Formats: sequence, structure tokens, C-alpha cells
Amino acid sequence: MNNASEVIGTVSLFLFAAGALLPYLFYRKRQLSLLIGCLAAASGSLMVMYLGFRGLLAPEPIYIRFGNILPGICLELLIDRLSGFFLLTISVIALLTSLYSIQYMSLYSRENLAWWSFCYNSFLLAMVLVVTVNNFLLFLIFWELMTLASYFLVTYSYKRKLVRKAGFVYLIMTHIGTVFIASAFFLMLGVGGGWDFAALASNSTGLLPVVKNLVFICALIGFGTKAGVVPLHIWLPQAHPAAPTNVSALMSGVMLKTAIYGMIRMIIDILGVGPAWWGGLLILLGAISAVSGVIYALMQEDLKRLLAFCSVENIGIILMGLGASLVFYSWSLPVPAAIALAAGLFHVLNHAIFKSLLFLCTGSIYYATHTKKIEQLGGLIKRMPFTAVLFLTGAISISAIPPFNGFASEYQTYLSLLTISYQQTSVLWSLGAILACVTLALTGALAAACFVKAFGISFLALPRSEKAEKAEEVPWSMTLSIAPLAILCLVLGIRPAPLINTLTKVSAQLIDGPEVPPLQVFNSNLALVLGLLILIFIGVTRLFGGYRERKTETWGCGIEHNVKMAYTAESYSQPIRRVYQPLLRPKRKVRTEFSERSYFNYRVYFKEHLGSNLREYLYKPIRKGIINISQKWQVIQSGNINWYLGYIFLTLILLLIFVTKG
Amino acid sequence: MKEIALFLGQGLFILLVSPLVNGVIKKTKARMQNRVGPPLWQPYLDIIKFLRREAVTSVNTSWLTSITPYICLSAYLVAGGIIPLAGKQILALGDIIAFIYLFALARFFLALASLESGGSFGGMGSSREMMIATLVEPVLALGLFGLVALAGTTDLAGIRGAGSNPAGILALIGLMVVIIAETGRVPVDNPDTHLELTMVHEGMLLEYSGRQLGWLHLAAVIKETVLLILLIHLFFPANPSWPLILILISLIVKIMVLGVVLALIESVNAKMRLFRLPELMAGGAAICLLSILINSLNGL
Repeated sequence: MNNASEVIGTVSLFLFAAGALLPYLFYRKRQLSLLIGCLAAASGSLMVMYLGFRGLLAPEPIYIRFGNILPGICLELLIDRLSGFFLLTISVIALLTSLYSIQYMSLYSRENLAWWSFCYNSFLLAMVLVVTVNNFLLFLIFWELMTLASYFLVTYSYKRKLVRKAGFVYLIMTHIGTVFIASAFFLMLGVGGGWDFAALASNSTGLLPVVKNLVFICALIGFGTKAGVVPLHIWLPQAHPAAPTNVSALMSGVMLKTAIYGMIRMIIDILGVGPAWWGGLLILLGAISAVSGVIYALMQEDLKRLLAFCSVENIGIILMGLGASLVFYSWSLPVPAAIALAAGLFHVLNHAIFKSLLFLCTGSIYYATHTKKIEQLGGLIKRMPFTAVLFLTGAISISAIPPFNGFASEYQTYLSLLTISYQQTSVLWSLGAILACVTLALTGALAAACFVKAFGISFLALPRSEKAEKAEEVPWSMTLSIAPLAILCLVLGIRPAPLINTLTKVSAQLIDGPEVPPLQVFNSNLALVLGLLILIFIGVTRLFGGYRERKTETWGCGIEHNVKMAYTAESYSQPIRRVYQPLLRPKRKVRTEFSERSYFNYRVYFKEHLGSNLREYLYKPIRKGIINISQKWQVIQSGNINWYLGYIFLTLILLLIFVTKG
Repeated sequence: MKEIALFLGQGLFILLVSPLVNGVIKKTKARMQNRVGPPLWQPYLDIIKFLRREAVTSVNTSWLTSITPYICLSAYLVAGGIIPLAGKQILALGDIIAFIYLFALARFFLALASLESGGSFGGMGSSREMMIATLVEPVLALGLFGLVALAGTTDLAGIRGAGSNPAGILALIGLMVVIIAETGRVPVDNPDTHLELTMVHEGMLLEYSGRQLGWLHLAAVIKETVLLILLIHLFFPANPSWPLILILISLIVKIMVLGVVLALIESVNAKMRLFRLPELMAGGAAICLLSILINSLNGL
């Protein structure tokens, strides 16, 4: 049986490689090269999906050995339940995105599509390898490959200045992250130990608590940068809108999750039990990310930027589950720890599904209207009925509304956080856990507001621009490749039990706890009763007492109704912007001009700018500080060769003293 | 089978009693203003009248507008149905978290539907409603999860009477503030006016008419009653060993008393400016937090 996995694993890797290289053979035939690239990626993902299933369900890890690719370093894939789960998440999204891209990328038919296929397939290959390699050096190499491939995908439309800038910020931030990840690994590297994860894990038991804490902090910063944890997320809202939308779906839906994988592997699997404040810190960071992510999302008027900020929010929710798990792990409560980790993992999958669903729908909107500005859309529910239903499904799921999947995983996160407060260890912990739940509730309400705005303004009422007026439903190949995601949203929301119980097995394998008893979930009953009641009420309305309905113009208070009467995205979020002013700190400028009769104002200019406060108060001082220090150092670079010779001489003397002392 | 019958019975009970609760509130308000007021059964007549009328909808609307009343009604009814009034949990339908999120479901669809006709008032109501929700939901969560932490379970049967302790009075006050905001009553919103400056909930219903408006009015009174029933379940539960009929009678009496209290609060307060609302909710949150602190210090 293992043999089959080996063959399929090898074939899938070769398919991705072929998808990367073959399109270059047909460089001139753009359509053909795109088709080859997408189909190779899709079939590769299909094989990875098989591997994912095998890994997720197998009690024993699957090993696939390829032999040495570097001197002394063997490329060996280890697919345990955790890797299997992440492979499954990656492959589902990658499969559908690849199918979607065949039609979507025709928007870019004048660009270099072979280059896109190359980056896209390398990106998928790198992600698959990142979550399966068993060796930290290879992990770093593939991590870097993933970053570079995604960098080139982000800067695909490199002719626009904004895109180049976004790519630059992305590259800088992720490399800072990589430095911290590498440091975390090197700190754990024992004397004479191997490079693989098992050796690291056995080394880590002997580490001093200080070193362990340091490793934890490094891993948190390193992976947190990639995941988009506040305050390290600043690259995210720039990079996601810059990339082609199908790539954003993959980056937001899946690539961020590889960082979560890294965190789980590093902290729970390799580092093992730590102090409880690790979990507390994660919950705190998660809460901050969740609220600030969603509140900024609410203020955006570019659909892709809105979704990007929302990813920050969801990463926050995932971190809360993870944090709760770490707390229980450190309190030696393996069963709640496993359940909390399963809640986090469940949200990983759910977020991957609904976020790529929403991104792909945004891609469809862009395909149909060539804009992603909410203010220019409107009335699309009539013009793009299928896309509207799909987007609505995603919007309901991401707002954590029952009976869809977002609710199912946030519900488990709530339960895990509340379980912390049940333990009654101290007032601080129980109060903290309740407050974390309150933040989760606040996040849910804000997310609902955000997506009522996103869906309501762009799909309902009347079209606000000619572009939206002329929109038509996108080709069926696009709608059909999004539809499975919407179905998954509903299915996982109605019947989460099998998945959750599988996920507790994943976490039990990492935590070495006892078997977790199957969890009781009510979602399917709730959905059934809700559905039945709705049907009953529809029936009662339509069947009894002669139902009559008449269509007419909307009442425009005496004048003809027009689109300018409808609410805009800006005005929709205004009350929230005003209430949460202390958090957002918008900059306002109001200038009034008077006419000759100075009692009546003639013209009022109003300007409001909502910048990034982090940039202002955190990144700017840091940047200034670095530049300052560098300028101070310039003193020793006098340009005088005598001085430089002096430095060499001085260094030599110091070294000699050091050697003779030792 | 008995459970299903109980669930259906409870839903039917809530469906039938809610307009009466609304009638009592209206009557009390009228008496406070030295008016005779409409008869207690006026809300029934209003709803029946709406249900018989023809529905006029905007040409801009789609299936979303037509399905929303049913979703609201079902969500509130299920939320009411999962409160185990007579003893143990009825079916496995959900707990306190599901309860909160069923309200979110109804709100989500109503806020969307009110945007559909493309008028200004719908958007205004919708935008304000979502803003108020971002203030109300955290405080609601704070009040409820404080009691959940005390009881050690999110199960609705498990938290029966979780607030029947001295610190519970504080939580009760905090949750009353939340319920006033959630049901759109003075000082947060005024259910009696259609002034553009003040309306929130009414603004969202503005483009509805006929049978669908009737359903939405019914949904609104059910929401009110269900929230009051939740308060009673948390703070003044009946002894579950009593016979069913006694439980129901005591429940009706308690709902009416709470309804009168709500009406009194409404009568002696003026409508607050919309953007003063954060202060009110912060007050509610502070009171809930105090209750949690007292309880957790007590537990140590």
C-alpha cells in the first residue's frame, strides 16, 4: 500500500514540474501553454489530494524517500496526519483554482502566460513540499522557494508601480520572517544531531527554558509574519490586491496556512510542552489580529483589500484556537488540548474554503466588470445570479452565521476558550478567556457588518456604473469550479462531526494524548429544523389566503427613484468608523468656503484619510531608527586607506589576545 | 417523539403569546402617558391585517427580499424553542452560543434585504443596525459567558438560574441594557416613529408591505419575547419539577412583569443620540464585568 503512495507522490511532484516547464515549449501559443500549465497543476493537485486523504486517515505516518538531493541530505517526505490534513487543504483549493484559472487567465492573454505557469506550478510544488519534508534545511529551502514563487506571482503585473511596491514590501517582510524561522531552528540544533525533525524534537527536551522561550518567540515572529499576525501583517493588504485574483485565492486561502503548519510543527510537535503564557500570548495576539483585521476590512472599498484584511482576522481566530490548545497542553490536559487544536485546524480548512470562494467570486466580478471597487458595482444579483449565490454563501460562512462552516469552527473555538475559564485556575485566566470570547463575538458582529456591506453594496440595488450595468454572468467553467467550495461550506456547516472527530485524531497524534471521545455537535439538527421551518412558512404564505404580490418602483419621496439615492459603501461604514474612531484614528480635514453673504456657507470640502496607524506609530520609528544608526556607523567609513589598515591591524591584535587567552 | 411535540408546542406558545407581550408593553406606555391606549389584543389585529394585504415590492428586489421574512421568523422561533422551559434540553438543537448566532442570522438577512430596494432609508437602517450590533453583541457575550463560566457549561439547561445569586443582579442590569438595544427600544431606537433621524429597525422594514411585513412584525415581537424568556430562564427560572401548566402560567406572568418594566424604562427615558450609544453599552459592559469579577473572586 505504501508503494502506491510513493508512486503517486512522485508522479504529482513531476506533474507540477512539468506544469512549470512544459508551457515554455509552447511559449508562442499562449492559450495552449496556459492550458498545459493549469491542467498539470490540477492533476498534480488531484494526486496530492489522494496523498492527503491517506495521510489524514492513516494511523502510522507514510514515508516517501527520494534519495540524496544535497550531500548528506536526503529528500524524504513524511506524511503524518497533520501533513495529510494540510495536503488535503492545499490540494482542494489548488485543484479548483487551477480549473478556474484556465478561463480567468484569459484576462491576461497579452502577457507572458508561460512565466505565470512556471511560477504558479513552482508555488504549488513548494507548498506541497513545505508541509511534507522531514528535514529542517529542506524546509527552509522550500519555504524560500514558496516565497520567491509567490513574490513573482504578486508582481505578475509588474508594469504598475503599486504592484512593484507591494511586491517589495512582501519580499522584505517575509525575509525578515525567514531569518527568525532559521534562528529558531538553529537554536534547537544540538551537537551531533541530525537535520530532521525527529532529531530536533529529541534535542529540544534537553534545552534550557530560556532557550525554549527564545525558540518560541522566534518561531512566533517568523511564522507570524507569513501568517499575517498583527503587527507583522502590513505586507498582506498590499500583496493580495496586487496579485491576479486566482493567485490571491491561493495565497490567502492556503499559503498563510503553511505558516500555521509551521507554527504547529515547531511549537507543539518539536518544542513540546511549554509554559502556559505561550498559549496566553497566542490568544492575545489572535484577539488583536481578529479585531483589528476585521475593522480595517470594514473600511475598505476595494473588494480584494477587504478580503485581505479579513484574512488577518481569520488567522487571529485560528491563533486563538491554537493558543487555547497550548494552554491546556501546558496544564497537562491532553483532551481539551486536542479539541482546541482541532478547532484551530477546522478553522484553517474552513477559512481556506470560504476565503478562496470569496476571492474567486471577486475574480469573477473583475472578469465581468473589470473593476473591484465596491462603489462602482451594484445590481449584480440580477446580472450574475450564480456568482451572487456563491458570494453570498461565502459571506455568510465568513461571518460565522449558522448553519454554515464558519460558525461550526468558531463555535468549537468558543467552547475551547470557555473551557479555560471552567478550570478556575485564577481570576486572570478565567477573565481573560471570557474576554477572548467577547472579542470573538465582536469580531463576528464586525465581520457580519463587513460582509453585509461587501455583498449588499456590490450585488444589490441598482448598478452604480456603466461597467456594472453591462456585466454578464461569467462562463460556466468559472462558476462550476467555484461551486464545489460553496457546497463544502454548507456541508461542513451542517455535518461537521466526522471532520471534527478526524481532526481530534490529528491533534491527539501530536499531543500524545489519549483517544478523544467523539464530540457531540448539534449543527445538523439545527440546520434541519431551520430549513423545515423556513419551508413551512413559505408554504403557509404561498398557499393560504390568496397571496398577492405587485412589483413597482421604489418610492423616491416624490421624485423619480435613481441610483444616487442608494447607500454607498462609504456611507454604510460611516457609523462604525465614527464609533470606533479611537481605534482607527482617521485624519479629517474640513474646510468651509463662504460666499459674499458670510452667513451662508458656499462650499464645504471634506477629506478623510484612513491610514495605517501601525505604519505611522511602529514601522516609521523603527525605520528611522535603523537609518539613524546606520548613519552613525558611517563615521568609521572614512574612505582613508590608512584607517582601514588600522582596523585590520586592530582586529588581528584582538584575535591574537583572544587566542592566547583561550 | 415527545421531545418533538414539546419543541413544537413551545414554538407555538411563543408564536401565540408574543403579540400579547407587545400589547402589554404598548398599553403600559399609553397609561404612563395618560392615554387609554389600544386594547391588549391590538398587535394580533395588526398582524392579521398585514397578513391579509397584498404585498408591494420594489422592482429592484430579488429572491433575497422575499426569503428574508421566513428566515427571520424561523431563526427567532428556533432560538425560542431551544430554551428548555420544561426541564431538560429539548432535542439537541443548540446551546447559548447557537442562540446568539441565530439572532445574527436573522440580522444578517434583514440588513441585506433592506439594501435591496435601493432607497436611502433602508441603507440607513441597515448600516445603523449593524453598527449597533457591533456594540450589542460583545456586551451580550460578556453577560452570558460570565454566567456560562459560572455554570461550567454552555448547555441551556445547564445554565438555568445561573444568575440567581447576588452578583447576578448586576448581570441582569447589564443584560437588560442589551435587550433594550437589541429590541430597538428607547433610549436606543424608537419603535413608534418613522423619522429618518431616529429609525433603525423600522427603517429596515420600510420597503416591506403586506403579508411579508406582517411576518416581519411578528418576528419582531417574537424576538422581544424570546429575549425576555431567556432572561427569565437565566435569572428567575421556575422549578422544573412543577407541572407543565404551572410553569407556563408563571412564565406568562413573569414575561408580563418584565414587559411592564421595559415599558416603564422606555417611558421615563428620552431617546439618546445614536452616537452616544457606545457610552450606554460601555456602561452595560462594565456592570457585566463587575458581576463576573465578583463571582470569580467568590469562587476562589
